Amino acid sequence: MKLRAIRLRHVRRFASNGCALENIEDGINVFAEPNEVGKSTLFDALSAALFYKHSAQSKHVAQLVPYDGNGAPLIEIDVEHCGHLFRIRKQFWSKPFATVTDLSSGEETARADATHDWIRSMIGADKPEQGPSGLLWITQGQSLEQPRGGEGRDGFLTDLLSDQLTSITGGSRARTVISRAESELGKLVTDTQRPKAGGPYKLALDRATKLEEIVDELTEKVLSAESELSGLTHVRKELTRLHDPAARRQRSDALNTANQNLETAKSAAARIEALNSNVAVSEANLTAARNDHDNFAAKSDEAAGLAEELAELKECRATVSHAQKVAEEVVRASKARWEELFDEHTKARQRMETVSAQRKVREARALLQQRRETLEQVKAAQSALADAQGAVDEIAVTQVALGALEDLEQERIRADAHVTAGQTVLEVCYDKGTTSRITQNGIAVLDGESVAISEATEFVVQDVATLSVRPGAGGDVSKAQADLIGINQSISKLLADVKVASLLEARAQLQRRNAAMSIVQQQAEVIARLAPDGVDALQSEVQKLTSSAEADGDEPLDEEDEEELRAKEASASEAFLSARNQHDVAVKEESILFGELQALTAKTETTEGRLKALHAEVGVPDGWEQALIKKSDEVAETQRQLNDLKKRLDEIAGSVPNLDQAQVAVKRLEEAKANVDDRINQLSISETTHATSLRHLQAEGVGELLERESDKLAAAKKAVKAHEFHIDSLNLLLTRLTETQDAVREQYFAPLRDELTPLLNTLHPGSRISFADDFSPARLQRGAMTEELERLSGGTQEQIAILTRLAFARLMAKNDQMMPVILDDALVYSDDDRIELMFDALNMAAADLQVLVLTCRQRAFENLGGTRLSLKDWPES
Amino acid sequence: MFKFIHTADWQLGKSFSSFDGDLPALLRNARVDVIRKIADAARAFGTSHVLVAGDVWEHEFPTDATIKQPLDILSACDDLTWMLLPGNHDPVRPNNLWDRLLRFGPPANVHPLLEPAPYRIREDVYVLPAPWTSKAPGRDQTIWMNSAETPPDALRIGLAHGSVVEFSGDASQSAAISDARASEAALDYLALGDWHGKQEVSRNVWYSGTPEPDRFKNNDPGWCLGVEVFGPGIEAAVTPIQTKTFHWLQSEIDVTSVDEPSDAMTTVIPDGLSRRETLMRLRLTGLCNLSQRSRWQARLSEVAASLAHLDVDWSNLQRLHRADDLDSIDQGGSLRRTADELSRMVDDTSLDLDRRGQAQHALDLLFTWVVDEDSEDA
Repeated sequence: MKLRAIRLRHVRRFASNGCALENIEDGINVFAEPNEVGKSTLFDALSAALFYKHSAQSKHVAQLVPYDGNGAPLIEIDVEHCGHLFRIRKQFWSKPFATVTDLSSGEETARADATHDWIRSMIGADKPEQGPSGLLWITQGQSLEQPRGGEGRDGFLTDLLSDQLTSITGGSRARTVISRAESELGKLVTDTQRPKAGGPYKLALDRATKLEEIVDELTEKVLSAESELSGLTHVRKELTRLHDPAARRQRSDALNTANQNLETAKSAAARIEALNSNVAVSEANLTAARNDHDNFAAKSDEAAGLAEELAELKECRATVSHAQKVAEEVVRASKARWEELFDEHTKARQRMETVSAQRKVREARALLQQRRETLEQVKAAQSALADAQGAVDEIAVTQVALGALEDLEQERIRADAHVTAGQTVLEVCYDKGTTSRITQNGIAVLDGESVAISEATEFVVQDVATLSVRPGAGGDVSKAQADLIGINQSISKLLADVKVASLLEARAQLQRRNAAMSIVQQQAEVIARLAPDGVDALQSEVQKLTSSAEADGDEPLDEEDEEELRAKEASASEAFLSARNQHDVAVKEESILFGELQALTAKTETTEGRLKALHAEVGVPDGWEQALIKKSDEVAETQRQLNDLKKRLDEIAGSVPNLDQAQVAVKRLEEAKANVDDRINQLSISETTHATSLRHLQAEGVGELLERESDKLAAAKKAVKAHEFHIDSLNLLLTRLTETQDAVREQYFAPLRDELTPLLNTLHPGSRISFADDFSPARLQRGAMTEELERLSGGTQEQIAILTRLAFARLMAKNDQMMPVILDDALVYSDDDRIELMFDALNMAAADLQVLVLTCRQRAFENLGGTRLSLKDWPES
Repeated sequence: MFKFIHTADWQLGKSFSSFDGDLPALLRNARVDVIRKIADAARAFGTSHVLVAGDVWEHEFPTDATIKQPLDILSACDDLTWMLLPGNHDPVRPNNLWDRLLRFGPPANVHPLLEPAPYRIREDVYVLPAPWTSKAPGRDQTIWMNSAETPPDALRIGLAHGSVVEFSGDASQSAAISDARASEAALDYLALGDWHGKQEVSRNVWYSGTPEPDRFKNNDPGWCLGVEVFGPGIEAAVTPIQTKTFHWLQSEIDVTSVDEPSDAMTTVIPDGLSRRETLMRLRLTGLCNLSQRSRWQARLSEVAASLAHLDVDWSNLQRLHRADDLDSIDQGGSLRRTADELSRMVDDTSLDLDRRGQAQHALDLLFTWVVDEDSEDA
């Protein structure tokens, strides 16, 4: 269907004059008029004429009644359909009628209700919100509303595209499955697949966790019960053993026996002690007898030995005595020789010492002479030095003073030059032949004389004038003059201080002074060289040498050879020492012999004394053998007595218990008994502890509870596993179904996307639209970013709404379902740039379509192009 | 002739806590209540002697109540004499379970047989007990019976707990009872416990089984035995007397040949069985498609509601993903593609079993939900 004209009368503001929008062409038609012209009235009237029966009295129809209240709403539409031009006329509300006329033949095609059926067959729908108009028309204020192509088999567009969509069946069933799977999954897990709080899966997990804790706790308790049971059994077994009457009796008997043994041992102890005492006495007797025997034997043997030794000693002493007497003679002879050589040596030494002393006197005299000459030289140098020093002392000019004078002189020269340069000078030069003279203070100034004027001075020019000359008030000259005076005064004072009249004299004086000082230095060096220790020391040395020489006198001195004398003295000394050594050897030998003799004498005396004492003890040798036999018999008798005593002691000790051992045994058994009692006490406590703990655990029924809770845990784990299996299965179903749906949807929307994409790319290059199952645009993908449509700007949303309708219209046109696209104020939010692009898209799409644009934005839509439409009256004929 | 009741494996205090709701308590109570049934059986059988061949209690450390309450019931049955033997679950160890029982002061008609020594029931009847003294005694504890001295003409009744070598097929078992014990020890009857099903091992040697079933094992539990002993060389007369309250059924159904699940369930749950006192473990095998599975699931849900417990093992059921099943999910589109992908995953042997199981479950869910929605729409 293509729209060619709309006419209406008695509709809202259009009264009897009516209005007509005619000459609607293919492609774009623009009706741009300001508000209140009636664009929406045209839209509503078109909708009423196509979708409402003439007899309808619905709200939509009621809204069409004229404002002036006169006449019934009449709507006439010219449409082109299947190559023919038809006119649809409908009048509502009052005297309603409806007709369809084929304008080419003038025949009425349909009338009354048949008109509605004819329109429905032409359009494919009989309600404004359904069918192509619902898809393609945008009414005022709904520019953001996206078109919906219907759902499933009932959807208009689905029917339209049925050839391409044979693979789509049960869309709502799939959604139901997804919804149900998501619902079941949602009860079990969160969106991130974590167990959902309060859900059966989480409850099962929590229950399993809790039961695991309980089972662990009960397992511990069962182990504890086993342990307590084992402990109690062990303790009771031990107690039974300890309480065993036989064992107790055995322990008691052992203690009684030990006590009896102790008593027996104690009673036997006195007898044993007495026997032990007798044994001790007997052992002492035996020792004494043995000692007596051994002592006698030893002493008799010693006496025999001493007698032989004494004889030998006496013989040896006689021999040594003789040798000692011979040695005494040798000593006496060697001593005489030694004393003789000693005297000879003394004399040789004394002569050698005399000659040596005389040599030293001669040397002293020579030294004295030398020292006296040196002293004279020193004294001469001292005199020269004193003279030169006197000259130095007389001159006051020093190097420093002269330096100061030289400096002052320089300053004076500079100051004088300064004064001279700044001074007023009168130079007089008389003319030749003149006799006149200039006078100053009556004194004529000579020709060529210069007069320095330092103060107001009058000059008289004879017979001419008196000249008063005053020097200028220059400060520098005055100061220089003052300085010069000061410097001169300083120079005068300094000259006076150094006792000279001038600088020249000062310079000469200093030269002389320096010469004198040079002499002083030279003489001092001479003195220092001649008397390095000082003049006084030199004088003292001379005096000492003089005194020594005077003491030596003036006797003549021997001239004997001192070296020869020294050799003689050495020879004498050697002989003397040799004699002395020989004497010492003789003395030593004699002394040794004397010592030996003394020792032999003493030993002989000692041996004789000891022998005498031994004889006093053991008697004479003839009785020794008999005495020894007797003492041996005494030893044997004493030994026999001791053996008897020991035998008796062993017999008694072997027949009664050992006291120490008996005491230890009693102590040990008493301790053992106490230990058993302690052990029983400890075990009794332990028994109570084990029994109490065990009783509690037994009463609790830990084994039974453990099995019960373990069974519950197994069931809980099974439930968790079942939930997890169910969750995994649901996820699998959802994943597979979603993936399949995406693939199918991609195929499903391909024809529509083929139409839309070129249009969309005029505004949003490279973008792509995803559709919901009802064909409504759902998401816009730009590059890597996918955005939900409702999140986009209003301008973009309405642009997509228009472009999608254009795509729908193109798709329908290709399926021989031509319908005009009507856009009533559909571009409200788009900016100027985008409107221009939208115009391009509209023109591109409208090549095969009819597009009717109703707008109040006259200026903005000037560039849209297409056919401009205008209203004209449609009065009653 | 001597008549007595032979029972064993009461396993008092067994938890059953892997089950949900009140069932564990009901099962525990049933194990206590069965004592009265045994007492009734004894009276009906005309005897006043009951021999319990071990495992009276499930644990060595039960609660006081688990010890005391059964004792109270035994005490109330004072016309009977109860002889209790420690088994491997409740061995006699000093200071433990049996001492606790003695501390409570066991009723005069209750006789714990804690020593391997002849116990005189009557002047001419002796019981030779073989009590367990630990959980792993490491030897045949009945060997002493060979040398047990009793009066020459007295009846000798062995009372023991554990596997018999020949019966268990495990000669290496440390505490296994010699299969020749009865003859070697000249026993007129050997009353055994440990095997929870009623079983004759050999002439005059019986396991009574547990009087109240406690597991899914088709070994005929839930009885006590009325025994008449006549003397040396004469076979004892043994009369099984049913005592159980709960029925533990274990069944397997090959669904391949089953058209209607209800019919199959009728065959595995016998008529007249109290369903609310029936626990069932059902193993489904064979091959079924998605819709059949859905039907089974629906039917089993109904059955489960009437049973005390139903545990269905689906893991051995192979699924057939038929085209019409998948078509009923959808003939095309995303749902069908998803169903096809999941079906491929189920059959993909390169995936681990968990993943294949998840794929199967996901496919089942998909099928069920789509079918549910379609039926709601219809």
